[in-house]
Amino acid sequence: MLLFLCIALFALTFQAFAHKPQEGTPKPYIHTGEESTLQKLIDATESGGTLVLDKRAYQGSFSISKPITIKGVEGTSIVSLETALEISNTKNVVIEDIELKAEEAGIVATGIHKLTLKNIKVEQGTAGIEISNSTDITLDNVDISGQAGHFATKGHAIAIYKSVNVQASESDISNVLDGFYIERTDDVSLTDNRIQDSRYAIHMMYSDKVRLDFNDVRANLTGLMIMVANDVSITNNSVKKNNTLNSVGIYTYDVNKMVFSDNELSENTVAMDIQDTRNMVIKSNFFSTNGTVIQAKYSGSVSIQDNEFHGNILTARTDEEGVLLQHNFYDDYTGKDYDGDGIGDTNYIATNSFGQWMVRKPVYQYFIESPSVATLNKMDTEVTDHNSLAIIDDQPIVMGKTFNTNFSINGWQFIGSIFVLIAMFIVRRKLI
Amino acid sequence: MSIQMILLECKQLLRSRWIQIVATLFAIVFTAILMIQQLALPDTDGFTRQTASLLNILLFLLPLFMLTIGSMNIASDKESGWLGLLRTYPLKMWNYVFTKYIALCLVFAGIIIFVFAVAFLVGSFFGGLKLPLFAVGITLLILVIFNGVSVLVGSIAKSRLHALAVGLGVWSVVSLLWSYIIMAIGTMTSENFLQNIVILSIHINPLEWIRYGYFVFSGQTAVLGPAFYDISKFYSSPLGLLFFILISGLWTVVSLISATVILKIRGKQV
Amino acid sequence: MKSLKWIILLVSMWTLGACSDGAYEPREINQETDVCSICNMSVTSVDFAAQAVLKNSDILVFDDLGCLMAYIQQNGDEEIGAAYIRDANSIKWLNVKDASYVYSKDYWTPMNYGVLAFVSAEEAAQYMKEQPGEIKRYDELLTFNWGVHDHE
Repeated sequence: MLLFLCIALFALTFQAFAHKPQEGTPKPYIHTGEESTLQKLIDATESGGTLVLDKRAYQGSFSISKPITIKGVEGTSIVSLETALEISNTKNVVIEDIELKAEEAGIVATGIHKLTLKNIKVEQGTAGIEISNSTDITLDNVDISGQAGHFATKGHAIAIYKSVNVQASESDISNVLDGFYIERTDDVSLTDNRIQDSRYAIHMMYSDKVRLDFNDVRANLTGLMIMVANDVSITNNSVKKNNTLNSVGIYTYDVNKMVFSDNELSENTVAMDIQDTRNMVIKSNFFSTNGTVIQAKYSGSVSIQDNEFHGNILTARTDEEGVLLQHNFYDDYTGKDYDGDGIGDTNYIATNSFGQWMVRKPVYQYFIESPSVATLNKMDTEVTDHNSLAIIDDQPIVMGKTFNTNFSINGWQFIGSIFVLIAMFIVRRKLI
Repeated sequence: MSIQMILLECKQLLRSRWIQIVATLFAIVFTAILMIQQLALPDTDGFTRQTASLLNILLFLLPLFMLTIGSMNIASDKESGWLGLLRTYPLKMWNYVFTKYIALCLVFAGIIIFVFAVAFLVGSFFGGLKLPLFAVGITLLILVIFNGVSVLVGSIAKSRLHALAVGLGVWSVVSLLWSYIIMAIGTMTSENFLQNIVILSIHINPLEWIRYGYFVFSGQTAVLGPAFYDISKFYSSPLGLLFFILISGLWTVVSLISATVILKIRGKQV
Repeated sequence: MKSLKWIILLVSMWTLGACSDGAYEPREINQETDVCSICNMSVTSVDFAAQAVLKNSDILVFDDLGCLMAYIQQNGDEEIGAAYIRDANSIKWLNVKDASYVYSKDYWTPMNYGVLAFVSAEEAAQYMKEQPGEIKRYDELLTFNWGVHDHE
């Protein structure tokens, strides 16, 4: 025991000795395998200085509480059994080019003014990056991946609480609970992020002034989940294949003032679920092959204009308040345009009784597009023309259908089918 | 049950004008829907309106053809006295029923191959057609189950007209009225109860059974909503698959056995 | 054959109906499929979940006590047989009318409504020693301004 203590003491003094001369010098390359090396390096770097890390794996948990720039090179990583990096109560922290592997969170930051994370890769344990009570946060090319498995057991990739002014771009996130979880944070702008195989790609709560542009969101439970928010703009995003149980492309709940334009939504179970939303404009979007496009509750003022609907099963289902449909293109519109003004001469009816039933009792979803319901809908659209509850577009756009007719003969299929037909003809002749 | 007898039955069936009309009609509709899907929509493998209409065409038309053609064929045997003649032979009734069943299956399989071939022929001019694999599976399932039911209907019917009426009746109940009744019940009961009835109806109504099978085996039960998560999970498991095959087989076997029994009883009465 | 089918249908409907009445028991939450009936969020934090067992035996699940209260505010409680909230200290389901509540805007709940439920007033007091908050009665929750309080 005494011997052990002696060795430990010896090692400690030796270490302290070894590092001392380097304080202040800009050459922090140390190749000892000690666990506390990185912490020492951080402590040794002067406030506001730059620390350049080596191409190696640093083991352990480290904390930062002063202005600093830490730069890695290709291959720099931090491996931790707990949270890899804790940053607290300071300003001007920049971290670049580092890979993090942590059993717990990758980075936890609180109370920072101006935090920049650039080219960071996180293999997430319980959580990716957690930021709270901070201002001016910039995330650039932050890639986070979790393990495979059901989302209920995972943590958020990037969680931001009670902060102001967040910019994130070019992030690649997969297999986590929520890609971005943003709570009580204002001035948020997310651009060019790709999020997939997670619960919610982007989840906002109690946030004002939100901009989501050019994000690519696919195969999540729900794409964009915007709850209790004010002043939201969502443009040019692609939301696809969110098609599992309970899946929604975009969900809004208690949102005021929202612009949703130029997005592409396809193959979602429900493309947009809108609840308790006021002052929302849905404009120039492209909806294709979704189960239901619009599902709305308590959102009578939502206006849906100049969108294109292709191959969706149901265009809209709503409660009594309905929504406003105007000037959209529907591929299942059967009316004609005899006066040639580009607008159909008869109304387009977006809802049917069956859709309304589904809002009330989700079990009815079993019958979606079943033979009986398909027949019912045919009759329904003839009858409900004057039903006040139906959602009607009185100016449906008429376009020439875009058939991609490329005449190219598929030789194998051609010969194969001809062969089968001839064979059948012969068999039939022989038989009769 | 000999091959010769089956061939004889096939021959008889193929001569019927009705069957020729049906085959042509079916080919046209089927090709049209596949072509629309091919040309107008982006390539997706989800459950879209076009897949739904393709599925519905199969679920709607095939049982209709099978129920009417199969039952009328047996009834006409009765009317023409052919069945009475057969009874004087040392021939077991199940033999007759089985021969009919196999012949019907063969003829309809032929029609379906013909229809698919036509669709592929037309499609080959537009860069080749992609037939969803489910279409093949579903048709096979419809073939196996509904030919059994149609033999049963034919054995119940007294004349060809009667067979047509009963066949149409069964078809309209199975494909339309059934779901309408359940939907109507659902408006009055709790959601929980409605869910139970729907699950029950999946197992009782062969058409619902086949439709549900499509969703399970194409991995798209999400379309049906969260209410059916547990049951779908069961049927997606190997044990569920076994159960599925068992119930499907039961439909055919029970139909054929009861047809045999009914024909036997009727035979003794005469 | 056909009448037999109808008899089977009727009998099974009757049995299904018979199974479903009785006491209003809470059910297990399925994290994979359950979503809140009000806000549509998936119920992954089971510790904060609530549920309402309706008189017709349907069960509605909520991810946060606030969503259950929002449901009651919207639809009244005539239809509800019993409503349950998860105990903050255990995995027990408490009848909402018997539970003790503590509120603080710093408590985290899935919808950030910040109200926790405890089996007794003592346990609530115990919790408040560590995490200060204020006691709420059930009838106060019904008129409580859910969600608006901290949306600056």
